[in-house]
Amino acid sequence: MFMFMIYPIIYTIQIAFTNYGTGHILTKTQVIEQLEKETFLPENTQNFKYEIYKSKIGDILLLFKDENNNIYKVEDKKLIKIAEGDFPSEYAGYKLLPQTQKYSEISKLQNLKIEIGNGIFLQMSDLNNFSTYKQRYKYIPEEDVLIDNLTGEKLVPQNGFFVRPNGQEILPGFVTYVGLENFLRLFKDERVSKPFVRVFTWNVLWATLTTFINFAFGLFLALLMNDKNLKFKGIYRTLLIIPWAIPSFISLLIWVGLLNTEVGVVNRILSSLFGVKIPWFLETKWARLALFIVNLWLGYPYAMTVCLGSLQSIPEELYEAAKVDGASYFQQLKNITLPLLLTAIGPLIVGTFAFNFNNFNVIYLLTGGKPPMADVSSVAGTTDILISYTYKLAFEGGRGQDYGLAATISIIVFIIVASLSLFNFWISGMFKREVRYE
Amino acid sequence: MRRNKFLDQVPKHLIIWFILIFTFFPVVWTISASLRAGGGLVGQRLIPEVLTFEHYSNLKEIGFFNWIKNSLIVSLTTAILTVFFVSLAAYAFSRF
Repeated sequence: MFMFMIYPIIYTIQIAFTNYGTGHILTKTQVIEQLEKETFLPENTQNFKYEIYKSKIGDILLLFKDENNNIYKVEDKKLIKIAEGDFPSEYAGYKLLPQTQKYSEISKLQNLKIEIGNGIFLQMSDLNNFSTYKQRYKYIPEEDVLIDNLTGEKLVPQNGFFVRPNGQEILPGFVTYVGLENFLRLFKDERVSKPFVRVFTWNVLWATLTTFINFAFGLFLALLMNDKNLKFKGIYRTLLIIPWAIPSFISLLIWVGLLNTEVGVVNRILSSLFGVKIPWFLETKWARLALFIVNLWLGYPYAMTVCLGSLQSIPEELYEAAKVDGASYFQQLKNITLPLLLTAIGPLIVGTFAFNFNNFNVIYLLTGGKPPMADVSSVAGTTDILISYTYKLAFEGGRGQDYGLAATISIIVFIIVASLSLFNFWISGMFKREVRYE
Repeated sequence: MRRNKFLDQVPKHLIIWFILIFTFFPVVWTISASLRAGGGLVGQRLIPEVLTFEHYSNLKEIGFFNWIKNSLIVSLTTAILTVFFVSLAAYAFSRF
């Protein structure tokens, strides 16, 4: 159970210290395997003419002829001489293909690699010839180097590539540990740190403001509804909770349609009333405003319910006593309602803050992080928060995916959210004590 | 006195009604879109000219009930497994 819980976390942390991403997808073993398959044409190569033979059931056999007119077939990774002179018209049940048909089969032969022992392969070198090729790279596990048989160079693994002595890197790269490089990139590499800092700032701003707006609105509504004499109170309360009941996935998609700049309903109403068209998702400030409005729509029922609940738990006697003392409504609000309310919902506010800090749905489905940053080329847009930025880095990077960096950012998000919840525990503990002393 | 109380509440009702409009605007729009002929979510009037239940009868064709089945399978399995494993963990926590 513990393993099940902890494994993804460990794996994420592990990836954060690697360069896993486009260009570094394979493990080192896989890369070596792939490189060892590469061949080259040595200087002392032997050329063979070839003919294609076909059996009745369609099997193909190749016969080769060297410069001395010896005819060979390949069996058990060896060249076996079977005749001299011209190609036979038939051999062991296989019939010689006429020239006209020969070339239609060539596409099948192009990638053929026939091993004939000693690390030598027969491969097609041009339309009429097969030549002997040699294995290009050989890995030596003891020294952890790759030998290039063509140039005789030793290739050393470095930064996820095999590197030639002159510094040239061989593709593909492999996954390797890069230590703290991903973390350093966040602060030092201009291309990464600039969008990161912006995304981070907006994220904090977003979480703070949207939580504040939602709770202010919810509290306002709750105060309105907390009136015992208010008619239709029950109906209002039920109706106002409805946004909470609709899956945010769906309501967000509806909002995207409603806020469409050209044909969206909101803009049509606005333009018929005031004659303005607001570019909701095209300009940063409007996109952000749209996010706040939509998240208010999504989030105020929760805030309202919470506030209503705790308002009702405030003892009536306190208000009666205040009335006797001649306190006005606002004095009551300031001195009785708000302090008692904050004690109760403080931890919930922090929880909502943490939730909004990571509110992937709203950001990704509504604006998708757009509009893009004008001056930095990055996957991040101006309304991206850390979690959607991470998602983009990992799964839809424009310049390739970068799982390593994505994992690093998600660790940072984890640290932030974890410290928020610690803070949450701390203040709820603190508030509890306060209540007890009163 | 009683009449005054009702008058006092009018602004409250107005505010709540205003918020109700804000709340139900997208919902109503969705319902109207579902009853409207054609596939557009945008560019139509709120009250559709032609009422149709065509979209609801299309549900079967696009495999909606299959999705419901999948959702049920996933949610039921998760619920059962979660309750099972969580109760194991909770037992351990309460004991030690």
